[in-house]
Amino acid sequence: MEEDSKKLDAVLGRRSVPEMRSNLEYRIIQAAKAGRQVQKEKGFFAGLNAAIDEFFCGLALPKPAISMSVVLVLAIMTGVYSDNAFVPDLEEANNMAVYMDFEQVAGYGGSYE
Amino acid sequence: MGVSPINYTDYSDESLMDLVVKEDHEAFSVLVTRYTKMFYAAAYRSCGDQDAAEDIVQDAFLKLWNRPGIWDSSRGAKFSTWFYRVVTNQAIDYMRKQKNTKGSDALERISDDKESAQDGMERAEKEGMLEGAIQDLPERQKTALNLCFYEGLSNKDAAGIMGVSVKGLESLLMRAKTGLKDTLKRNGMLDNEDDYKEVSNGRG
Repeated sequence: MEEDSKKLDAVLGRRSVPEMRSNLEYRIIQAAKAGRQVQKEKGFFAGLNAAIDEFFCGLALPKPAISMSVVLVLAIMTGVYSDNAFVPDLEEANNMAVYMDFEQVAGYGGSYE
Repeated sequence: MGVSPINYTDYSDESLMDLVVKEDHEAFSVLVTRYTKMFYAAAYRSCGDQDAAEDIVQDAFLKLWNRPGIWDSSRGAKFSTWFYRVVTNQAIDYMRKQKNTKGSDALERISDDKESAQDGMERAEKEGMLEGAIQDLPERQKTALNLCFYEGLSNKDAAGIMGVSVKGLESLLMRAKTGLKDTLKRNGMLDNEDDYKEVSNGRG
């Protein structure tokens, strides 16, 4: 058992690692330098894009449900407080009711005595 | 940018990392020169593929350069131990992606050696068998074996890298060695006394 373990360690020790195929250190150092250079060159445009994105994000509508609720409330308030042709005032409404009443009575042949 | 007048070669890894955080390319270069070979070997032992090992090491170093914040000096970890974890994780990711698509380079690279064809073939066969047996181990057993046996890390450091207890690591090592012993015995690699004598005390 002990012997097997020693043999195993010896066999495992035979495992080798091949040499690197290329000058990896140099490649990594250059890639890092190049990457930082590209980042710097892109810096101005990246900043500009970010500012534009932020601006449009600010303009974007909030959640649809909230937007609809706000629009509905605004519409109701506008309707309540506005004085336009579609909303008759109280006197006019009374006259209209009397007129409608008369029309109704007339239509039934004077059963209204 | 000219050559830095400061000689960083005497700096400790951790001091260099403090400079890398401040985007000091010279400090980064010293770290790369100091550790590429060692981590390439670790990556190769994990994945068994030369090109992949080079890519893994390059990716790990570039990740460090582009996001130096991943190194947290306040934790008091040794740079090399911490970076083993980065490289090992990259290698594990690679292996998961490549599972069953590619074998090891062992057979391929032996053909380049300047030894007789017969000897070369025999050695290639043995190395291929050994590499195959190690690569076939479950991922965590293989990582434990690589870190402790080949990278020479202490059990405590290796356990820290793998995120297991020292007992857990010892259990993984034990299982790895038992599994390898069985496989190599089946293939007659533990029977040849000459092989044993020839390589006794050899490592890496």
